[in-house]
Amino acid sequence: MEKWEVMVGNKAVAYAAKLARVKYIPSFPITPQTTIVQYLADMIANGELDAEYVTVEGELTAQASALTAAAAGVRSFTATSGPGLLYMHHPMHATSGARLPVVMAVIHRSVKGMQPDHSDMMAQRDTSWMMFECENSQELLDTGIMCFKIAEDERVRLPAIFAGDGYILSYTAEPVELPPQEEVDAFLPPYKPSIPLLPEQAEEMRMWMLRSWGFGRDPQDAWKVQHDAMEAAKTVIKEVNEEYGKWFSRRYGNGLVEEYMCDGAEAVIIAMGTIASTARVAIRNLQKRGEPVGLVKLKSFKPFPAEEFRRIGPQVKAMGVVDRNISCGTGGIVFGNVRDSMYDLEERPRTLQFHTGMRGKEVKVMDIERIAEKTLRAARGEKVAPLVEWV
Amino acid sequence: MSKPFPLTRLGDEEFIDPANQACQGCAGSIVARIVSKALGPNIVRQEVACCGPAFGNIRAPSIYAEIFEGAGAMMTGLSRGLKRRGREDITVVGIIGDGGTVDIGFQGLSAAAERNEDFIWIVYDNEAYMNTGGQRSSATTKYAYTTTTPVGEISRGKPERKKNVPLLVAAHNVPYVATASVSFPEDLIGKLRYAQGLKGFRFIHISAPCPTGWGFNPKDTIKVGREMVLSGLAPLRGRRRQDPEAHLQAEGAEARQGGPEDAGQVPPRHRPRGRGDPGGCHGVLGAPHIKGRRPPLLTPITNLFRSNT
Repeated sequence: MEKWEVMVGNKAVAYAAKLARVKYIPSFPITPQTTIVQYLADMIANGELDAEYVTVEGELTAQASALTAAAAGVRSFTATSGPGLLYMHHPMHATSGARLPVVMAVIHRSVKGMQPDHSDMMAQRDTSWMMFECENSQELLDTGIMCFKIAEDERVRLPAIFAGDGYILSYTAEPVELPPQEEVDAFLPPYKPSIPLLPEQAEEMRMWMLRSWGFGRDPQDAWKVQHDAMEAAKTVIKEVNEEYGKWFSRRYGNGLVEEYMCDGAEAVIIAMGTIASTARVAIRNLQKRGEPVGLVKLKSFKPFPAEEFRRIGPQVKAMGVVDRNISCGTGGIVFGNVRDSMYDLEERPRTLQFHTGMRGKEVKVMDIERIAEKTLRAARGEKVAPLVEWV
Repeated sequence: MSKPFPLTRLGDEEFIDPANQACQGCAGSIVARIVSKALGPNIVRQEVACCGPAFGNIRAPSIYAEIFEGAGAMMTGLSRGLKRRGREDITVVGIIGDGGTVDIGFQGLSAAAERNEDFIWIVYDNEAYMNTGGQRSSATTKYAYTTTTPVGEISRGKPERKKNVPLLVAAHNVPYVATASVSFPEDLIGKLRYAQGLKGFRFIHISAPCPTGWGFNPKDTIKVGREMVLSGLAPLRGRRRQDPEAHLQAEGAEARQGGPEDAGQVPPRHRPRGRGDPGGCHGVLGAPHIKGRRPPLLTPITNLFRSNT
């Protein structure tokens, strides 16, 4: 039967790993992720989880050893934050390059200071990892379990990050429903390795190595197969989200995006992570006042659901994109992606860019209300300025 | 301790293919052949970027990743993963260059040694970054010419001494540390076979002259390697960890026995003197005082891995 427990986001992440029966956990502390690996250490110490727990000497080793453990045929999980994630950057390319379904929890910490923003994950944007944003502890747990299923799918075989905002989620306690272990086992079958690494498979392994080195192929193939897998992942994510919903009666939109109170909306705002949670309140307040504005929560940042935005785009007159990140010299990264995906539409909505919540700046309901109202004014054809606003 | 083991007794089966991309006279390539023959087919290898993948024609499976500093990390994951898969019979081994061991890979080396991860780390030491064209490494000997420490009007080559990595690894009190040379295959095979029989972190440092980088005639690789050993530049040593509790047990004499020396073909003057290492790290940091017994004198590790570099 379902069990409820009041727990912080980090504990929910640890439970996701436990329920997925991970077998290899390289652990290195960094605030605000640290308590995840502490909870896992406790679970192992108490005999609740049977896994190799290695207290490594840094994040680079955490990532590189998770890579080879996954290659050796065991389910690998690790967690990190901010600078730790940056330190993992180059082995992350190797993990996705070898198509190894390592799953990692990222508890956001800005690369400027200890408070959260999405700059740490955005710095890994092009490592060919899937990236999912979560807005509450329950979603962290559910997404964690789903990540293993998505990443290990034969059509995908790419590593995945599921992320939550540090402090706001990591240390905030809220009720979380723990799915029963038997049901998770039925939902998530044991990991089957795809690399023939054992000594008795020496010949297959040589062929695999030659293929992975790209012998006899277009040199660009190594990139193309990853891009194709990323595109295929969109279907898999929707399927897994649906299947998870059938098992545990929780769905997160269609797995890629979630539309909240978008029926009849003239304008929508787009947000990721905990800002989406705050935005729900703001949108409810505005709709009570009769303002037709909705929320599109972006759950899957990679693969980026361009098709969804092409579908939503023509239904509204304006979109306000809330970015908890910035690529200096370009602007909001989500904003760029959203706008980019709708360029070829016959009828495009106006797009507004908002930066907020960076370096842990508090995002209040009234901030989102102001963002939504400005977007709505743009939808009604009013002149709005500036088009890029730091809230 | 390890006993020299002749190459001829390993049988006719080769575990590498005859052709590879190594330079003529490459000692690393000879190391690859000897290692694969001595350890047999039941191994899984880790490769990082070095000359190794270029002559990586060993049949046993390997994982290669361009994580230059990742040898210790990746072998950790491999051995732990295989253990979880119930395949502890497989020997995890990495044939790693000196740069990936003593420089960029040193953090991972030290950490894996400290955790006593279960694999064999083999370093073929050609004393510079030869794969990128012979740049200085911290394994380069003093006054040696490299492309980044050239000899010129005001330069005599590399100003610093060679980093003594076998000594540093031995100070981690790992189960086995040995130095060997490509020119003494019997000694090397004996050490490899001995290491394979142990569990935990094993480190074998193999002197591997590089004709391309050092600028000698490729036919002289073995000769140069032999001169290095006989001159004391690359002494052949081996050290098996003592039971860390040994010094607490029964007789002091017993505790002081056994030990570090593994002469191989080392000339007598290079053999360690003294009474051996009674308790590994306990010794290095000072043995706990035990009533009625004088703490043993402690220089053996430094003696053991002393070299004339």
